[in-house]
Amino acid sequence: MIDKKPGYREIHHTADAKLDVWAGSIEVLFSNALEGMYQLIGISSNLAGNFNSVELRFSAEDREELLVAFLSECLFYIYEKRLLLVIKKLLIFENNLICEMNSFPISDIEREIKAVTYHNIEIKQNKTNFIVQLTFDL
Amino acid sequence: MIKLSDFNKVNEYEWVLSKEFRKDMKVPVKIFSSQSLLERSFSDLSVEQAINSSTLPGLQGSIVVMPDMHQGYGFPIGGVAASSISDGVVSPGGIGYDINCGVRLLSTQIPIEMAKPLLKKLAIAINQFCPSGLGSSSGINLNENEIKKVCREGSGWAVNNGFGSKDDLLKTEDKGCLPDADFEKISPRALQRGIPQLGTLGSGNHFIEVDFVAEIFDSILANILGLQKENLVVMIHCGSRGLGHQVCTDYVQLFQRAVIKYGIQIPDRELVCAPIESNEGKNYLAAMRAAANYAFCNRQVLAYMVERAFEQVFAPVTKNWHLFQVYDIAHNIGKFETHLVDGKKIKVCVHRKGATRAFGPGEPELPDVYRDFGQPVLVPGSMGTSSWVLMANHASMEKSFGSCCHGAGRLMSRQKAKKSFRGDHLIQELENQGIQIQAGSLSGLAEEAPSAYKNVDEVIKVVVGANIAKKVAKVKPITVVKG
Repeated sequence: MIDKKPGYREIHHTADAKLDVWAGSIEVLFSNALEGMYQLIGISSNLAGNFNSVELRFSAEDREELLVAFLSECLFYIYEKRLLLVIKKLLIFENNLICEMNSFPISDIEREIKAVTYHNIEIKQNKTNFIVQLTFDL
Repeated sequence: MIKLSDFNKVNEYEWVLSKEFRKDMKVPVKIFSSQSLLERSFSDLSVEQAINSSTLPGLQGSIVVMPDMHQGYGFPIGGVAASSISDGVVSPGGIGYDINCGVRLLSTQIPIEMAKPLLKKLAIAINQFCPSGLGSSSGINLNENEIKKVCREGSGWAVNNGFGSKDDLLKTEDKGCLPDADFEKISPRALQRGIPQLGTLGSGNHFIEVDFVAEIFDSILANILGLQKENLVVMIHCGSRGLGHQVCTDYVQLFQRAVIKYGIQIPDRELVCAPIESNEGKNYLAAMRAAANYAFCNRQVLAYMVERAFEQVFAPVTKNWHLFQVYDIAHNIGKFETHLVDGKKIKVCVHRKGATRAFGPGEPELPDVYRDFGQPVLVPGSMGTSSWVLMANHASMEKSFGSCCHGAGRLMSRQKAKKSFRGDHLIQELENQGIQIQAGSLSGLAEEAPSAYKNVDEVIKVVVGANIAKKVAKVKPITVVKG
């Protein structure tokens, strides 16, 4: 079950875009990172319209790599397939991810993100939250 | 916290941070800057990123940073790093996601006075001929075989297919084609992304700008470049589009493993790298060159399209409506070059991330027409402010691995710019200054407001003061097309 409370904020970066993301679980952290990225892009889509199901699966060396791969794949869908992927069910175990998603046609995009970078990426955990800082190349 | 007193001031425009500053630094960091620009740079992470870059294995000389520097991701924007071919590394993040993002300058014989009544028409025509914005496609309809040829032949593919002339190739860095490019080292996804996008401008800070030559500082050099006071020129700024972004994404991902395999310690995962002589390094270089060739070709096609717009607007009023290539340079690229380091000539891989090549007079890589005078260096300002045409000096070869600045450099975040400016107000303000704007997105335009950038004249003062380059001409915008 994905918690829908906001869990990201844009922070200063001179030329590109940077997000602080936090959540009580690793799954929600990934979900919040995706929502934050969509917010940066400024996507318009009719989520009440027709959709198709998409399943993404990734295995990685660590969770940071998993997060970059997951977000990069969603970027690819946005810019190359003009589809917005919305999480239906997300499962992360060890360094593997399985995500069932619905894809919706995009009507408008405000901004291009060229890539999700690894710049200073580190998923940390404190008493209450998982936290990560993400930098996107604009 | 880095402060001015940490630097050794070489002269008014050169500052060095010794490699003793942080224990993992392998070479010093040399920054070309005025004191005020340097102090301003402490407000973001650009200097720290330069220090991080200096920890890579096999670096030669210093990490060099240009006065238009600002914070990037991994390397700073405006950074130059030269690594030894034999025991150095190549880092995709040191070249960037927009591989061979660069600038092309075209001259005309059209005087500004003749053009003034037609500028609005010209802006609309350029916008129609040159697809821009997100998801734009050009209608060139490449197939898989043709895009592979683009990756191998670069601008030559465009000329062979009717987009421009052979003279354009002579006045393009590396004649618009890097050797040893290999499309087989590019993922199918990257090729797929490149197919519909050849001949498109893209979005963000990419632009096509029509300027007029406002001031000439060296009439002999201006004449050699074909620049005449009051005549129109065209500047095109774009890169390798989704193909290049995907190549960098793929290899940054792959190199996460390479640093472990080769036992390379890095302070930031975006600085991942591989030995130049390793399979991973060779594969990336071959893929990066293929993406760079795509970008050269992209600017070649766009220049042809801009000329079609000029033909439509100006052919009815003058027979001198043609465009002539002045030069085309990359500012995100990795190249094998020979440089003098500690008195010895050595072959290095020069990473330029937001820095242009700037070879001085006599260098064999320069086109015949410019060889005796130095390489043209094209420095776009921010939208609505002046841009500069420079010529590289001999000193650039000794001081900066034959490199110079690439623009004004961002000062304000996009987030802050969007809060501070409105796209529609900006269009009005620029129109009041006589500048026509065609923009795909008003919020995108606000992010590119002139005040979000440093004063380009201040940047030019540094590179001229440091003797890297000399002034040839200053051009001012009259029409800007942005994606």
